[in-house]
Amino acid sequence: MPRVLRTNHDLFGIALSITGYINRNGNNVAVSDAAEHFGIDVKRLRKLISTLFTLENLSTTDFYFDFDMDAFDKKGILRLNRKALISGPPKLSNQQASALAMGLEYLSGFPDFTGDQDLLTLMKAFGATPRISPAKSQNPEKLSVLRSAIQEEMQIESEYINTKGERSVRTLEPLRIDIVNGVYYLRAYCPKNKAVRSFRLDRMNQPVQTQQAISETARKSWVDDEINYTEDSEKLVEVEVDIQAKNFFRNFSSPELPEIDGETMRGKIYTGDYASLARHVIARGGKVKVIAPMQAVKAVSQAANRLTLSVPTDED
Amino acid sequence: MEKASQTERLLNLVCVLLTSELGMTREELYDSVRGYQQKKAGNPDALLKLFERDKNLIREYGVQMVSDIDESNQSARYKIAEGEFSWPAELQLTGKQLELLELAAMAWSKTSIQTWADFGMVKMRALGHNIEHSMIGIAPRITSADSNFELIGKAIADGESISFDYKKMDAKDSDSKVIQPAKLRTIEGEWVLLGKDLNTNEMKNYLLRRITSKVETGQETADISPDQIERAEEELSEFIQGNVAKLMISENSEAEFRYGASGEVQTSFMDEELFSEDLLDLASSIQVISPESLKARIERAIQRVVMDHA
Repeated sequence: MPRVLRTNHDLFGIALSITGYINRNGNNVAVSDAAEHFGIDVKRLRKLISTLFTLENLSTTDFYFDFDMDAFDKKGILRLNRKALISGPPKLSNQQASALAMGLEYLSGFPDFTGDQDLLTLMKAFGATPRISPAKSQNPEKLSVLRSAIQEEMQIESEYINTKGERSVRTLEPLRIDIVNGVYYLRAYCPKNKAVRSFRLDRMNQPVQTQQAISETARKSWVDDEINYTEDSEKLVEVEVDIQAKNFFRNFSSPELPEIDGETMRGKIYTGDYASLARHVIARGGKVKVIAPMQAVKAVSQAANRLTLSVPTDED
Repeated sequence: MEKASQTERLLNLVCVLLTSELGMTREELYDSVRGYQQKKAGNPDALLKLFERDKNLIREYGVQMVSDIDESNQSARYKIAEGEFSWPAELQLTGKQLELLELAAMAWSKTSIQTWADFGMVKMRALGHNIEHSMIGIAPRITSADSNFELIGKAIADGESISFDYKKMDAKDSDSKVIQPAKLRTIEGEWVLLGKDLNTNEMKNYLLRRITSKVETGQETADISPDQIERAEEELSEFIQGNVAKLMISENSEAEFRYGASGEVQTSFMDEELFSEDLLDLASSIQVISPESLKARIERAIQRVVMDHA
């Protein structure tokens, strides 16, 4: 759905673009369609059209936009009685074109969009080039099951391995798929935890849509853009991070921004359990050091020591 | 008379400028635009401030309001750059294309680049019919913990060069770089900048995480042709394809979920250090068979974690 546009700046943009939209649609557009298209309500659209209608150059008394206000009010039709001063939408600025081009390039890296002809056409128009290396691959069937369940508002069942390595079969009420910097997350209402949670798709196995519709609670749940929530039971851990591993902080919520000292960052993070913290620390290969509390340091030490036992050596 | 709203004033300013063949001075604009005329009898400094603010807002939106001489001069004549309001008449976007553009704009939500994407999207909506909603439930988002990300994004859009300190893989110290940035993209989950090194004139890729200083913008610039970008992309692609690792993946493990297979699996990677992080994340269910350098890197990394937390 189009986003709700509310600021004066947004309205200014719509006003500059709307006559172009009307012209390109045969000078005859249903008011409700135009309102939906630009993401504003009909009342606001009426006010905007009225503003354009009364715009006047005070020195010359020229009017610029002759809308058929009668058709608007009585027939719900948006049209112009004569050609408007602005007959097409303004061109994009470099920044606007660049922002959209980068967004399109970002999309092109995902399996859902790879090879999409509409996307390729747009990218060509924006001077963008398709991504050479796709994002971490996802099983297209997995994505297809989840998308279909979201659209049909049905529950799913899936095998899932959590960050502690615990395996279980979960029933989830899927709401949205977030693609954050190349990583897919299912945002779903979890009846077990009675809350919206994030589930990495690469930790899910063989999700299937069930016959059960999602609950009213799930339907009304707000899906925040934040992937990592802080819960009351979470523990505060102090860490020292090499600046090259700064994305470590992205996996946790923090009470404050880390301090930067040369090429080292020091900060605090919240974690639900030390086992999953250990996993993140080990994955940074020595670029993250847990300072406190001692139980967290021990948990990392134990997890790393277990791995040294499983690292194969060339000894006979 | 009812007070002119900000939207009305900005629209009036654009329309007056569009109809002016020779451009208009500030005073002439004050007389022609209702919002200014209403305030003309008041404090002249306040009116000037309002006009300056409006100029910035209009330009921020992307309308190229230009002047013939320095704008601090009272007789400067303003107009809107030619061609600013004309798209090719035949250009029409389908509902599906608009939906894709919506997603592209949505990807920037909660970043400073979102404003550009949103303003651009309003204009693009005017070029199409109804937006399709075939991708309900998909929410792409670009986020970066890297404070340099938005600075680089803006430098790309503005065509400015940038300088920063960069530490190559396994290097002890950082080197200073001056780059004309061309593109930012995620590869294997990491942000990679493609740009031209202004000292060597070579196109290179830089991982954002290895930039160890704040990015600064510079005056020096260089042109980068689409061919140069394409060639650099192809070279990186060939490089990635040539970096092959053989892995042993435990059956029925999380690694199997991720790689979609167990047993011996062959895969390519962009950067050995980044790839080793992926493998360390699954270290209990995956072993490296080759290359030796990757195997050794993983062993060293685990040893270092053990030592750091002893």
